[in-house]
Amino acid sequence: MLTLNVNGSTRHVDADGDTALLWVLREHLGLTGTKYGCGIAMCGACTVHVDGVPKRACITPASSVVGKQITTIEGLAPAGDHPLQKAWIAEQVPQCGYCQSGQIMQAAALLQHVKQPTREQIVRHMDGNLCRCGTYQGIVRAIERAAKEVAT
Amino acid sequence: MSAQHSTSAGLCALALAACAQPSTRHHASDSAAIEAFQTVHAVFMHPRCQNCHIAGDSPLQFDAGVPHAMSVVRGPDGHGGEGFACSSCHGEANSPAHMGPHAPPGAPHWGLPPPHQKMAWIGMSPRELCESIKDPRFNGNRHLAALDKHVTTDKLVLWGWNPGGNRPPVPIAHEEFVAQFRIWAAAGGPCPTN
Amino acid sequence: MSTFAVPPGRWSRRAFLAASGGLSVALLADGAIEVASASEAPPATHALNAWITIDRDDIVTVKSGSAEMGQGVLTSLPLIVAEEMDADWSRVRVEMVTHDAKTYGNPKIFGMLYTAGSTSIEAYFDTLRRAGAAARRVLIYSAARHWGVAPSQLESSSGSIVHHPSGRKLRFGEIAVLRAVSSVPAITDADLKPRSAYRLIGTNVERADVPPKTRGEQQYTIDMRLPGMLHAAVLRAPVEGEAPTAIDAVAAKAIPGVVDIVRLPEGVAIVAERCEAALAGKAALKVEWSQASELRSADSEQDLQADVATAKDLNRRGAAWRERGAALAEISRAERVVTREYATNYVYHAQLEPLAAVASVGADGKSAEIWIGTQAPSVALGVATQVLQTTPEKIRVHLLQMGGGFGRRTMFTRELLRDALIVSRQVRRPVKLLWTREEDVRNGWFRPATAQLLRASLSTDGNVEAWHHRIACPSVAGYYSAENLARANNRDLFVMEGAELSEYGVPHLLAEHVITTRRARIAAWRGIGAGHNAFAVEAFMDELAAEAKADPVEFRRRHLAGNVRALAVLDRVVAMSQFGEAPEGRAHGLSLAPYKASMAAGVAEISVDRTSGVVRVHRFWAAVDPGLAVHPRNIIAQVEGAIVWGLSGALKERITIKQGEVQQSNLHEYTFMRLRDVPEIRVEIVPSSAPPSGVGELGVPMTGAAVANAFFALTGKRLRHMPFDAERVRNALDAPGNHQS
Repeated sequence: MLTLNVNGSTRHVDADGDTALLWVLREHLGLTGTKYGCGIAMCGACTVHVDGVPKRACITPASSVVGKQITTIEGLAPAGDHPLQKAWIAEQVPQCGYCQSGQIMQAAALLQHVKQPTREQIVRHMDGNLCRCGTYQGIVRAIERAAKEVAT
Repeated sequence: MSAQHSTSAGLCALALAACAQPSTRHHASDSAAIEAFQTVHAVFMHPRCQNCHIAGDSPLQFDAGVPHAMSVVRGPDGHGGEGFACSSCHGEANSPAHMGPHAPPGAPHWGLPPPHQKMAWIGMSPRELCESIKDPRFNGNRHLAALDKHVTTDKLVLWGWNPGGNRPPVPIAHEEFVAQFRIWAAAGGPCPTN
Repeated sequence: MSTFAVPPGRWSRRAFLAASGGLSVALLADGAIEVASASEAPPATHALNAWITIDRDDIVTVKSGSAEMGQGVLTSLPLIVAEEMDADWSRVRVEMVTHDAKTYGNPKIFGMLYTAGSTSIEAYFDTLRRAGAAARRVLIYSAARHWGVAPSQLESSSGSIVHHPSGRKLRFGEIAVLRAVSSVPAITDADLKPRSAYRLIGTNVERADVPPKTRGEQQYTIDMRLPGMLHAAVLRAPVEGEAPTAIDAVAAKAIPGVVDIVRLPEGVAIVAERCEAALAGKAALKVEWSQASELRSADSEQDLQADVATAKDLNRRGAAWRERGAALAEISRAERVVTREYATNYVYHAQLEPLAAVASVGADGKSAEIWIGTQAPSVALGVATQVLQTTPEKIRVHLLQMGGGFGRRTMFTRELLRDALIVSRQVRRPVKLLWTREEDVRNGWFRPATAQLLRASLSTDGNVEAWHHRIACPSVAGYYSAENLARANNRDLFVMEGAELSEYGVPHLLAEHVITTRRARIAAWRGIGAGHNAFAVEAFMDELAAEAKADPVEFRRRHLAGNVRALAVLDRVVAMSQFGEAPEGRAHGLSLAPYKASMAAGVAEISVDRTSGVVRVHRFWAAVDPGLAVHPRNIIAQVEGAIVWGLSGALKERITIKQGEVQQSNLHEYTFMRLRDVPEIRVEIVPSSAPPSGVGELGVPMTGAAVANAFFALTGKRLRHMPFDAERVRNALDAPGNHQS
């Protein structure tokens, strides 16, 4: 039995410690907003925050995040109204949508550390998150929009 | 063939050093030390080590030493850019086997040397490497004893011999490497000329 | 669509026969008249016709015959209906249909429920606007009877019917619960809105699926969780055509939670109470394979070389795809013939949601519920009825949105769904069967590698007189069904689309497909045939322009005489890009590439690192004419995305096969474009009076040649083999000249 702190709640999970956090979140806790894309940390669809740092849940053993604060897309903002989520809607970013939870979680970590990122910082920070529909331009626009709106 | 070549080069170095400054060291031990350093050099030049001991700010990956995907950078402390750490993908240990051979490797404090002390040795000749790693300005103020500790106990260094997945480990046994390192260090760290 | 090879009989004969005839008229007659049978008791919802229901709360629900894979069809299709019926857009909902291909099937794809080839808007536009107009008419007539006034005195206004003389007004929902009229006049063309009256079509309404996709709430197949559901992971044979001969499951079964091991036709399923146990079981499983497949000899490089030789062997005639005049005779007697070879490699879809299917087979083994995101619900239904030896009404299909389609989820989810059904039937519980990324890469259905030979004769004044395009590669259509390929006279849309040269007025033309032996699983990939053909065609046009010592824009323009739409996109993209005026160290390349009825042109601005051989695309401009622009913002998004897709394929994507095994296993080896390499992309829609046509793939065909032509402008060297990876670029830079043959 593992005890995890997920989105501010204590959750008890009947899983082995070396189970990927991804499957614990998705299948044990029903938090399916975190996606499986490659299982080897190449696509970023499974990105969550662990103590505020983006983490690829697919290769993270659940035992390694015991005692840490885990945040998923479901917990990013209680009402789903994080500035990035609003900017994502304003820019109509998603197409198939499958990568977008990971994109938003990755972007949220950037804005936590760098309030007004440059285009170059955005590109570098987001380069680990793949989008096969090719919504990349929209992602950059949305991050810039969110950063601007947070600043004003 | 290369070993023979190295040995003769080492003897040259010894001869020059002996002329340049008085030494109490025994010639044979310097020769052995310089030969031992060839092993040290080979280890340091292995992809498991040199992919992160790079001059720029973007590490390499895989045996081919290709630029690391995802625009990964050294960052302010060697552990990645702000908000996107090496630890986002590299855990405290290699991933469990059931995650497959291609999951990213892991070890404690995964990262690059910090930007003020890059310890970039990729592509260095034995002489360059030798001189560099003894230079405190280069090696993070480590003297040889501290270096000994680094190469014998640092878990990230030791990862090179247990890289997980299908990655080839450093091909020289760690004990052998440490033994050779100590032969070289005990001799005061003499450097080859090539 | 007579050339579209019919896949093997996996759907009901009834649906197929129905689909062969015209659907829309009968449908509308049904829809408009059948509403008369409303009962005396006010219904909670009111089916105005097969496509539209209205409930008492004014919610208008529109049926979509197309499935959503990110292309925005769940917005653009109901938008058409809402426009014609004057619905309040905020009250419009949409529902993907899963059954009744007779009513809802795609007339562009044999009347099947099948979403592919950028056909949705083109296929359903007319049907849906007539359905909308018919619904509006029923509402008007019903209100007219209720008020005792003439229908001609009523007007519709955003979700209401209004009687201006009396000021009376009824909302759609209020009318829906009235007793409906028994008959209304049929809808004619004159009843449809002129474009000038549109208030929804052509606007940038927001997609309803965007907010849930920003909150992680959109459900895909892989997210399905059912009470009592088991998880199945599959280990599949390393080479197509092989089966397990010995299974050592001792270690796998020892893993807590593993409940069963199921032998499948091409693999082994590990079934477990939990996903992680199934995956661990898969890792622990040891299987020996039959190792008897003739595809063990497949070698992607050697096989392509064999196709190159075939393409060059002019004695070997292919199946004509397009033919006019006497191209071969003209070329054989021409004084000036230019010949070039082009090639492309296998490419993989890499849709980001790995393949999954959920099946719950009934205790009788003859009925099932299935949950699947598929481009081809008709195929899914056919698979289920065949596997369970049952009839379609025993199968309940739940259609989910797809985490990317791109051609991967068409006919090719057959094995996946089949296996989910087999496993569920055996374990007598609902099962979610998952292909890991590794299984999907190694068992991918790739766009075939192609070897292409292009020959053209040039007149003394530098005009193309005859054009001969030979494409040597296996037949994708024939892979689905050899019988149907034969019936279509070997005309294979999947391979040949994009070789029509319909935009250019070349008097003599032969585009032919020399069908070679299939050596891998092959399929359509975003852009279908145009992905590889438009590359060769437009790269060749550029070479011909150079041979004719003509400017690439002027050369194309003079071959586009009278093609107003092509000239418009060409001129627009030239203006947008300030073509030919690239900054120092960069160059521009142009490509004109229609896709089906849509027209498009693109310009790439590139630079080359001559040491590493890396081509970088800095900017990309596209001008598109998709006919009537139904949902402009989405059109631009689709074209942008398809340009990223196309550039990714042009620069880096490649599957290789040795001894029958796919050499790549996951996204560290099959790499596609990341943000850093994405150029600044500008897309403009050129106004058009043409009917609406497809946009999902429109950005792909233009990309390869635009890059190759820019490379020539920059270096004087040609790139003729996609992808233009660093090694090929270095080789091209080192090559002495540009001329072949």
